[in-house]
Amino acid sequence: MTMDQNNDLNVARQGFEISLNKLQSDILLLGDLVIQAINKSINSLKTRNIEQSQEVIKDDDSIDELETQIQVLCVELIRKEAPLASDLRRIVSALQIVDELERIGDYAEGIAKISVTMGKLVPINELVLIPKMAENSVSMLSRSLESYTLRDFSLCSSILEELRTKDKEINSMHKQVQKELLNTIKSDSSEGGEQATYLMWAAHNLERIADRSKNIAERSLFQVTGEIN
Amino acid sequence: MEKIDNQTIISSGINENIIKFEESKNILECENLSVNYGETPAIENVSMGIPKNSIVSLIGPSGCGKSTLLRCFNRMNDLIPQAKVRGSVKFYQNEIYSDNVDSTEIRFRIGMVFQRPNPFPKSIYENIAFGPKINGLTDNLDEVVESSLRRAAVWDEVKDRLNESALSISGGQQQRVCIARALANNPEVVLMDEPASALDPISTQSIEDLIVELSSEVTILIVTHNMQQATRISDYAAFMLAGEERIGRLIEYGTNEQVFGNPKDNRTEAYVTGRIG
Repeated sequence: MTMDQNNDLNVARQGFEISLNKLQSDILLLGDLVIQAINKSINSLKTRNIEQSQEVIKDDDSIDELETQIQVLCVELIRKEAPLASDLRRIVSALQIVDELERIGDYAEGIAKISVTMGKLVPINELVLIPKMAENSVSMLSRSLESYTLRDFSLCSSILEELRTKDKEINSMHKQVQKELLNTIKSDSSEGGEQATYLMWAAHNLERIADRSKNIAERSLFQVTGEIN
Repeated sequence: MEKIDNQTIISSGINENIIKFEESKNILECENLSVNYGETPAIENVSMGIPKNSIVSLIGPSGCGKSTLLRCFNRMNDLIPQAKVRGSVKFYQNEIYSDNVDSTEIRFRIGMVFQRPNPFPKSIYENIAFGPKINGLTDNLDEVVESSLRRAAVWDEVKDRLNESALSISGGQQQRVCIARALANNPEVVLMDEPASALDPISTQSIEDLIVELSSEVTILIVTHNMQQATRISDYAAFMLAGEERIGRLIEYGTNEQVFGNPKDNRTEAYVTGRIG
């Protein structure tokens, strides 16, 4: 390509380029809101802070609203710009990622609802491995969002491999948590058993958050390769 | 006739951005094809194969040599006095620029449809019957006219107006009559130079539908500036570009999925996403 063509490349479809950049920043904003929701929901579960749990439940509406705004922007860009090649892949992956993020937001809201249901019950056994699962899930989600911004085959592939390994680790932790909580349910017919039942669901949600974070890394790689696995 | 399957695609050792097919699957192919208009080079060293019964789009900015390349495939450039063609163009593996090849016969077997509908100032019937008559066909002309118009999906619209001037019907109908005129010679390939660029969206759609339908029996090579059209109808697409020296070169040639989904060359990517051109 000539120098002139490169310059043209920078100015051509400038409005479209601005919209694509807005799409990316909106997705990162949604990602931030979702990460905050996970952290707050786990904190409220640990500290029995019902008000904070209710805040997470209320804030989920903002996540849903932003999801809709991003979807509207994607549909508008498809309608107006008839995107092809990398532009099309960026918009398709954005639509997929926004769906994953909204669902992760729902899992955080789910944990907050569990926390509200548990009320002031004192947590058992320091919530077993649940805080650690949450920490790892949030780390996976952050990495997957980093991958989304990179748009580089080698870096995105490497992050996906890393997240696949971490996802397996979280699956193992989930199994261990289930085992411990089942033992509690079997042995404790009072409050402890009740708490363990709730915590099973919280652990399930965290395992799903890890799965969907891995999905985001897969969509990020699709953005580069156009290959659907 | 079945379309070519991916197993017949072989990779090119020279340029991985240019798809290569088994020679026996190509109905047309050119090798190191260059064209000059006088002393001015228009296209240089284009090598590509056109698999039988496929739809191949030629895309690229204005002036990159798409139409020049298209015209080489049925020796239409012979009609331009200053045009000099070098390299090889083969039809069923036979050189079409050999001295012993009749260029008129080549043009019957490799038909052409142009950007603007160009019916003769004669009746619709005479337009279609023109080629077969030149070929000495006098029997069953009515059948040939009807079947050609049917294949071009315009029979129902003109069947009661066959003796009216072909210039009296709409642009979209005229273009399909021109396609019918090409089909009346039973061509094996139809070259189309922006056949829908002068038509409204409905007529464009009917031409696109027609192209896809025809491709089961005819190979189509089409020049288009409409990326969405090329994406909708092509099996393969070839991207040409002229650099500062204004000589057109083949930059990338691949499947529809490759060229419009994930081009290998940055220049193709820039063109199909509207950043250059």
